[in-house]
Amino acid sequence: MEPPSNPCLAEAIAVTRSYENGRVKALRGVNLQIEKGDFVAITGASGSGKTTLLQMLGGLDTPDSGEIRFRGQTLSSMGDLSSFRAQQVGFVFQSFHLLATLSACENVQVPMVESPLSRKDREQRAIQLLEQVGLGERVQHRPSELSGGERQRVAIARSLANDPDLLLADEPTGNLDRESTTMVMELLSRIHRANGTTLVLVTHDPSTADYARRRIVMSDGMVESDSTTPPPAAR
Amino acid sequence: MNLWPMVSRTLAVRRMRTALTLLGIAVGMMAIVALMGLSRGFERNWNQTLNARGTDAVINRITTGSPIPAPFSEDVAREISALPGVEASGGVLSALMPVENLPMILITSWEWESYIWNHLEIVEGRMQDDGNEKAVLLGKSAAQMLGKKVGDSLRMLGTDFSICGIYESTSMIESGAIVLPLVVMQAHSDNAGKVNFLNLRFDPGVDKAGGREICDQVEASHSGLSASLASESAQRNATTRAVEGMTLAVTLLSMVVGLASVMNTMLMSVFERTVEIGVLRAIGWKASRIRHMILLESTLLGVAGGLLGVLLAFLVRELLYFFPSIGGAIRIEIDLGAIAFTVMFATVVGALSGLYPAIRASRMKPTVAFRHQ
Repeated sequence: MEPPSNPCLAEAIAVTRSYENGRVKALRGVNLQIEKGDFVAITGASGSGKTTLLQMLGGLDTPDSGEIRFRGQTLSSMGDLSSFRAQQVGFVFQSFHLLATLSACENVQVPMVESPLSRKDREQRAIQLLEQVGLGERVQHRPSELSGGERQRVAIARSLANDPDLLLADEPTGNLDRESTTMVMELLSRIHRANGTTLVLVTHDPSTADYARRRIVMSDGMVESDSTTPPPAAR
Repeated sequence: MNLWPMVSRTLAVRRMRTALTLLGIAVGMMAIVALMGLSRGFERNWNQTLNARGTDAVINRITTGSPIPAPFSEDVAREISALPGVEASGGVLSALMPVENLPMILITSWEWESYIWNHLEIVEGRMQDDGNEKAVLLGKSAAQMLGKKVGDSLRMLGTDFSICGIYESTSMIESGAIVLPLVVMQAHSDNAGKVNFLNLRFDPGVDKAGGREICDQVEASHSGLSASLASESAQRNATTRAVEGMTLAVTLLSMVVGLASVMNTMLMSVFERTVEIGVLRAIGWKASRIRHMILLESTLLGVAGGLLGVLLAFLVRELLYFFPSIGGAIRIEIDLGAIAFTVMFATVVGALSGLYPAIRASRMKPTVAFRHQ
């Protein structure tokens, strides 16, 4: 359990990351704290380091220097991060990344393979999550039988499979039309409000970023600005 | 949700590649099953042949490669026949050679009035009148393969023979053979006074151990000769050994082809699914689960390839009967042991082939995988 005195869920401390033998510096000493229950949008131009930062926070990549902490514990001390990613983090990708051969229901169950739930319970939870994202009628459909917006909603249901504390979304509306974008963003906002899930999304779309309470602008591998604005519901 | 639907559907989606991989494994496995069946078929036929004649032991020159051993003197045969415990003997001179339209057929000649002739059942025509008659008997299969009947002429050994009869034998080898008296064969094959097999029948009181002793005695007193009890003879036969050698060679070759084929497929599959594997790692799958998934897929290919290979072997066995010149002379006997060995072998090949791709996939970093997109 998180100590009540520490509202910080995830933290980046002086994180650097470079690629191609140091020629490309993606992050140059980023410091950042994500509070539990927050809704954060990370924006910035292409190559500004926003996706790299998101991947660091989710334990998909490791910093060259500095450290990432989750509930005060450094990720580098956790060893294999598979369990961390499975239990604590949910990912939503721009390209959905659903498994084409599996139905919506099976896709949602994929992160649950290590969970102690029985097969039947997993299936029931998957159906429940699909109903929650408005796809109760599309449970047995394969990704190829779904629209882009529906696929992203399946991906969101999948990201919630293990009831994570932190939801990380990388350009979740990047491949969607305006109507689907609105639907997906409202869904994410609703999940954030209803479950208290901490939500960090990377986007280059200002209207998508407007859904967040806090906006971080990245530039050239560094945090350029960090501001808090009232979400649409409060405006 | 477990690994099974993911693995089976991945294979089903890439139908053509899966089919070609399965074919690659199956052809090798078919060859293994067929050769094992051939070896067993020959062994059983050989045993049937000796049993049908009532032969207890066979003497021949030690040979390495040729299915028909080199001839030896009838004088030696006579010495052996006189050994205590030997009730009866029969000299045999055989050759495998092309005859008329057939590329290869067994011509076998037996010592006239020896016990070997007794088991033949003449179904058409008659036996030779005496041991010098220049006439042949055809086994029923041989008659079909040659398209001959009683009264026809048959050109072999550089001369024409008349066909005096057609016989039936429980032995497939004999059923596909041409039989003539020993002296006639010797005269027309430049082997006067020679035989290449000596069949022995022991006294009724001689048991297996006693028979073994007689065989040991023959081998001790006649260097260069091999004496085998009928029950062991097939195992020591050069043809059996040659087929077993071929089986081993084909098994090794199939292993290499199978390994290369499945590994190539799995590497391609892993390469194509780089992003998918990256996503699975990103959403919390452990490296070991990724390894299991890839290994399950390659093992499944191995099992399916093995089963398909067995089916193909059965198909080949049936097809052989459409080619009398082959099907009449050889028999493929597919038993449970051969099937079990082949399927297990294919399973191991599949699993081994998946090792490297599985390790490669499990070491893939999600971020690297996403960049592959």
